[in-house]
Amino acid sequence: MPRLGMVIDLKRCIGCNACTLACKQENGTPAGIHFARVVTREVGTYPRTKRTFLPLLCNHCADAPCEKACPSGATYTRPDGIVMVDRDKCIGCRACAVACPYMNRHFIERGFLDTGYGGDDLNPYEEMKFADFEEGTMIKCTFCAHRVDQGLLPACVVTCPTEARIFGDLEEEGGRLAILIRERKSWTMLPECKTKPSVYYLDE
Amino acid sequence: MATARATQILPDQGKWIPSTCGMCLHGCGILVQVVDGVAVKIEGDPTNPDNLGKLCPKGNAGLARLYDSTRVLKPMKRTNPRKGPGVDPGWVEISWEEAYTITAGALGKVRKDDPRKLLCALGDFQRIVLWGWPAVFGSPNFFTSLGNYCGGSYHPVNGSLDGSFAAINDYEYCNYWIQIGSGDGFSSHLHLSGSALRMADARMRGMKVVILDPRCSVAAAKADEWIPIRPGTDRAFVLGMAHVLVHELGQYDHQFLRDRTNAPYLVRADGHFLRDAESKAQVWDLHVQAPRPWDVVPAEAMALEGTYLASGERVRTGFQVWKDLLAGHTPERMSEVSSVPAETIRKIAREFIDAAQIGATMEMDGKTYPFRPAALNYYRGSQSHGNGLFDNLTFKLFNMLAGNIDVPGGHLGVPLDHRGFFVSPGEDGMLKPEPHQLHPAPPFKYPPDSSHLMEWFPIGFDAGQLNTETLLEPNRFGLNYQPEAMLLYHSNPWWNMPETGKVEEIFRRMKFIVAIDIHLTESTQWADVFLPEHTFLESTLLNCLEPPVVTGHSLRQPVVKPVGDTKDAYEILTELAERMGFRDDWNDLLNVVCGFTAQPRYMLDPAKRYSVEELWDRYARNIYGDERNLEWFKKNGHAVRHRTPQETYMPYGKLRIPFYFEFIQRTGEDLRRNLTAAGVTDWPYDNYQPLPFWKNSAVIEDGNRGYPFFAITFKEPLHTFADTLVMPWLSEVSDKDPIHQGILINSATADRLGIKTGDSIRLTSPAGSIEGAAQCVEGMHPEVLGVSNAISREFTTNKRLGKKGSHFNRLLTGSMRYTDSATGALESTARVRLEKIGAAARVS
Amino acid sequence: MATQSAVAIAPHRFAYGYYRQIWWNWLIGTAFFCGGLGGGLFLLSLLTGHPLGMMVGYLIVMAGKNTAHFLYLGRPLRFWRAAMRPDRSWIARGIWATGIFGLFGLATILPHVFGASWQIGGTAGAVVPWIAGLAALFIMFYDGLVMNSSAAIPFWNSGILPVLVLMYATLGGTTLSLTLRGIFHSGESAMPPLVQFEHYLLFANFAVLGLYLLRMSHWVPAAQETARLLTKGPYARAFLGLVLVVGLAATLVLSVAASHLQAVWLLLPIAACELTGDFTLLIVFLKSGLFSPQTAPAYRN
Ligand SMILES: Nc1nc2c(c(=O)[nH]1)N[C@H]1C(S)=C(S)[C@@H](COP(=O)(O)OP(=O)(O)OC[C@H]3O[C@@H](n4cnc5c(=O)[nH]c(N)nc54)[C@H](O)[C@@H]3O)O[C@H]1N2
Ligand SMILES: Nc1nc2c(c(=O)[nH]1)N[C@H]1C(S)=C(S)[C@@H](COP(=O)(O)OP(=O)(O)OC[C@H]3O[C@@H](n4cnc5c(=O)[nH]c(N)nc54)[C@H](O)[C@@H]3O)O[C@H]1N2
Ligand code: SF4
Ligand code: SF4
Ligand code: SF4
Ligand code: SF4
Ligand code: SF4
Ligand SMILES: [Mo]
Repeated sequence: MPRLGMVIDLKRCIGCNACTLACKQENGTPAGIHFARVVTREVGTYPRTKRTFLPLLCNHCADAPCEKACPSGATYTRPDGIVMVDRDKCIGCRACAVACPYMNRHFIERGFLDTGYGGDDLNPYEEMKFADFEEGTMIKCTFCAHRVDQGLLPACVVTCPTEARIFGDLEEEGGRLAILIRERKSWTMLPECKTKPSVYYLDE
Repeated sequence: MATARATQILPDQGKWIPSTCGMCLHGCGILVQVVDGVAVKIEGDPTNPDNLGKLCPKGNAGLARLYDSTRVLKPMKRTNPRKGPGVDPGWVEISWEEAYTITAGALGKVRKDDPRKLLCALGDFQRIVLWGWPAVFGSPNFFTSLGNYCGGSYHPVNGSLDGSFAAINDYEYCNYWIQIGSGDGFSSHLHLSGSALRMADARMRGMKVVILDPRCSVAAAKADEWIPIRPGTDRAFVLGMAHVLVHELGQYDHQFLRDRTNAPYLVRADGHFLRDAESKAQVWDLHVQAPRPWDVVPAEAMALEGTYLASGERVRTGFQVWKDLLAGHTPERMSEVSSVPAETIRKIAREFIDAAQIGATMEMDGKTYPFRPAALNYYRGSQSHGNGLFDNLTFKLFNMLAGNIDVPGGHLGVPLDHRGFFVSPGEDGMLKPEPHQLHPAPPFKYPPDSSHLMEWFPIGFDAGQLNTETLLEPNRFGLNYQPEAMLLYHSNPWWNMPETGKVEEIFRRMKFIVAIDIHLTESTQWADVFLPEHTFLESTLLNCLEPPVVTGHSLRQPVVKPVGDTKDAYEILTELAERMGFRDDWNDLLNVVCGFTAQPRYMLDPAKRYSVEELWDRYARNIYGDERNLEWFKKNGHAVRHRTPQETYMPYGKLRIPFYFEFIQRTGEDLRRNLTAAGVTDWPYDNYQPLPFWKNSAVIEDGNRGYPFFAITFKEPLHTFADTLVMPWLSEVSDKDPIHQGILINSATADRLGIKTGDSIRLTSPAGSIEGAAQCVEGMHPEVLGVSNAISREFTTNKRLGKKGSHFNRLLTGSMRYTDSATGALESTARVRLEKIGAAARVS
Repeated sequence: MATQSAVAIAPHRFAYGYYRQIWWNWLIGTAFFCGGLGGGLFLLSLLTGHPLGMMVGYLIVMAGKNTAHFLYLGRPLRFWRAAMRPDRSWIARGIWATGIFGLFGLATILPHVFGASWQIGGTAGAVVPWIAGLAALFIMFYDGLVMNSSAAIPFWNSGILPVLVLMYATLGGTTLSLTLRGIFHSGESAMPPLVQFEHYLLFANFAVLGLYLLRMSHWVPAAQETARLLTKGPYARAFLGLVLVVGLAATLVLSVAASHLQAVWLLLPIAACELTGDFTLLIVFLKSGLFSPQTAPAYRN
């Protein structure tokens, strides 16, 4: 069985947030919820300064604290490594949310699904997309499992204008991801949390 | 099973319809998934070599535009005669019939009276073919800063240099990329989605990027070197580098300048070329030590430099003239102007010329080209200034010193559209200059017909901002009529023009305003009648607009039934033309702008009415032949392909390109003759120069009038101008990014003035003042304040958005003093005073 | 840069900075509070043979804690699912403990209410109270384990937390037990030693709390930042004022006074002070929980 993962090349990334918006339209998440997002940070002092861009999404941790914290078993890991939430089992206790060091759990508060982005009624698109969500449950990045299961790449990956996001099997011998991780200076987020992320970053 | 789903809609459901993105002017190829009549996903079209399946964030937000809650979905008329910000127009929905009747009635009256009394603000670069409507109506007026806030000097210079419309460096082969005041490949300008990929690939293969910008832009953030610079002084930096190449290093492409440009042509003291009896331009023949016609002297005998005595008269080669001019532009002096250290100017110049590999060549398709993998690219920020013509000429001439114009690795012209470069022979073996590509240059006229004095800008771009001066003081310009009506189409002049206060005064004076738009904006809220248009996902057109590396059209087609009772702009304008009785002239004009006249069988019959589909079907067949008709495009989406090396490199062939822009000086002299004859004595001609040099612009001088700081505006990947701010999908993201959360100010400067992030500050320029929250950052030049478009919006109907602060353009001045006298380009930087007017509510 | 050192208010998630956990609110605080207090009171009363205390403790857990949890859930009607994964989730384990406590606690209490007829005879009868007691003990401190089981929020991720929670539960139990005895004149014989015990506890809790903050202010940045929020930042008033001054200092002073003046009426204010401190502690600990900022290793401070 493969272990699906992503490599994000920070040298290529320009912090454009196309991933953020591709995820938004693919998943139709309610206002304020972003499975994909880009954290900007200014480093250094003038004139030796620059803005850094750090795209974030669920790390699909091999050792996922969100899963350990989930009392209902709603959070589970697929054989291919994708960490999912079964909305029908979720009781909305948010234990996973405080357990995820990366803030990649998103809770659908009461009312979130009642108003669309316009601030009032749902538009036809929202009508369709919101039907997938349930108030009082937890949602998260699914690595676009529904696309992956159809042999497609995640939405944020196909759209990335700089091809900074590379998706595939981390375990594949001599695979693109394995090589990049080995040959470039690579790291995972907050290693001290011992979550074994499946998302790797390549230094600028 | 517990579905592995984020949404019930799977990629293999419904159908995927090919179309073209309309979220910015450029038009990337897209595929739109439609399920049960609802558009549910937009992806880049991987078969389109322009964007290769990529989409920028705006393109990814296209659905939000289609289903935007702020859209106007039925024709409306205002019931409240009082107009102005905050005044409720009392909109009532009406039928199209009523809307047309009112509009045609009101505009028809104006037309009979004096068609010039109509002010026109037409936008939408993807439908340039519709821009001739005002001309057929009879109005020459251009009441918007579309294109001249950015390309006012840029497009005329590109057109004059090599028949291009825009320019970019060679993504494929360039190794040393200097970029000044532009987001190319990172955040804005040409075709962001595809350019970002090309730029990333180039950087990965080791291309060095040097960015000049007062602000740490995305480009600066990713560059190998960010050089902060004082706004409006970029030319000084580059003149300093040119000085280094010409006077200190003596390194430049001698052969290119001698053989492919007019740099060797001899110039007389009056700035004109030395000509013989047949009025042929002369060069200095080193063998016979005498001036001889440019076309008889063998290359090796032609002098590129030098001052000579031609039958007693002192003459210099064009190159020598600039060399002498440059002598005074030492890095030290240019450093004082630009705030860039002299050693940095020297270092970049050296790195650039070394990387240029002067003398190297490259084989391509059996043809040998010079190979110059170093180039300087630039756009709006660096030359949208009062002396924009000089800025553009300087940047081009600097590239010419490396001999990199339109050669592999170098600085490449980008054609306006599928027609490619405008190449035809001019005088003296030169390429014919094409400063005007959007419409023919109007002949001189006094009194002027156009409210923006287009007849007085023979090589200029429509200077919309001048309306703020001419309409408020018409007598000064002999303007003998007062506009009464306004046509707004895909344009927000209240927002896009300088000196907002005066622009608003002009809105106030209008007796009738009609808006063809998709939602209410600062401008369209003034309308008497609002004609709602389709969005790009509901309308039809073929688009090919300044594509950097490809050519060919891609189709925009309706992917869903119109969400509301809206129509296509072409339909609306045609219906209005018909009701006012000039549909026949309208068809005739379309025949010209669509190029149908070339193949009469596609020409529109003036007597007939054509549908949107019929128009674009002919457009397609006229260019691509009958088999590639609209139907073909509907199936295949696009006919976009890579430009071939022949189409890309050295389009000017054997023709010489200008180094010494004599024709600019001559144009100025003709204009002076005309205006003086007409009795206009106070018109400035000082920018009609054949060669650029440093001189202060109005904003630089404002520095000595008690305005110590500079204020600039800028674009970032998330938004198209401030228009897309109304889309919560995009604004909820920009609202969470510090650079869009306030007026950017250098933290050291802020400390000095006791300003903290969140404090309210006021910027005051000679033209006006704006207020906002301070956002202290490191990535800002200490003398510069940055105002993102994302905080530069004063009216929308979006519930979640409301007012976004006060508008940057209130700081700018639209008058002639702040306008490039030769190109009509406006000054997009303001000098300001800065004061703290309130402390922030401290969190934690 | 100002924007970056400041604590960002979630869900501001596009810029570098510290983010507060925004999910666990006062309801969770109440549940934890009731669990500790009720469990503590029950256990203490069991050990000191004080049926009234056992009953009140039982009610606080079953009515207070469970209701708070129930009200908090996004899908309350699926609450039973919370028991599905005791193999890995401390919440699930807590649910089981609460369930066991519910049954065995009841079995322990009933005889005192309806008399011996309800007595479960034999050895079984002997172990029932023990099981109830152990369950109560577990309920007293397991929320500490719930909070510290993930490394996500460094300030919570410490072995001392369960100890601290347990000690506060005991303190709460003791205080309430004293109050009940005083007011209802039952089991007063055990009061003097309990008062002693309470005083020692107050000092001990103070010590452990101090130790905790000391440890945190020398640990990873996110933990240090929380410590700053508690001692200097927006939560300083609540923490220093309500938790330390009111919850510990005032409680001690009053209860010393009470035992000297033999003033039973002081028991209520004492309870009020101590329980306020107890509750506030849980709330500010929840509120001030920060995630570590996400940034490239090269830029981590
Ligand atoms: N994302 C996005 N893309 C766009 C557009 C958009 O609105 N958004 N608009 C389209 C249009 S019409 C245009 S004209 C182009 C514009 O494309 P660009 O010219 O790339 O865009 P700008 O951000 O206006 O200006 C570029 C940079 O100039 C800097 N700048 C400002 N003043 C100065 C100066 O005096 N000197 C120097 N060196 N830099 C300066 C700004 O900080 C900014 O980073 O983009 C096109 N593409
Ligand atoms: N402060 C500031 N001012 C600027 C600039 C800046 O960066 N900062 N940029 C300058 C530049 S470079 C330019 S080119 C101009 C651009 O200025 P504009 O051309 O005015 O800007 P746009 O947003 O392209 O178009 C204006 C309006 O078109 C309408 N619109 C959008 N889609 C459609 C459609 O499908 N159909 C119809 N009928 N209408 C539609 C929207 O209401 C939008 O407000 O602004 C200039 N002014
Ligand atoms: S889309 Fe690609 S380039 Fe843009 S922010 Fe996301 S990862 Fe970076
Ligand atoms: S990133 Fe967070 S949500 Fe994703 S698997 Fe890891 S712990 Fe779970
Ligand atoms: S909120 Fe749902 S997914 Fe998260 S821990 Fe609770 S039950 Fe599991
Ligand atoms: S993988 Fe899919 S769900 Fe996850 S961030 Fe990317 S687009 Fe969103
Ligand atoms: S660059 Fe322009 S056309 Fe291309 S996707 Fe972005 S907004 Fe659309
Ligand atoms: Mo522009």
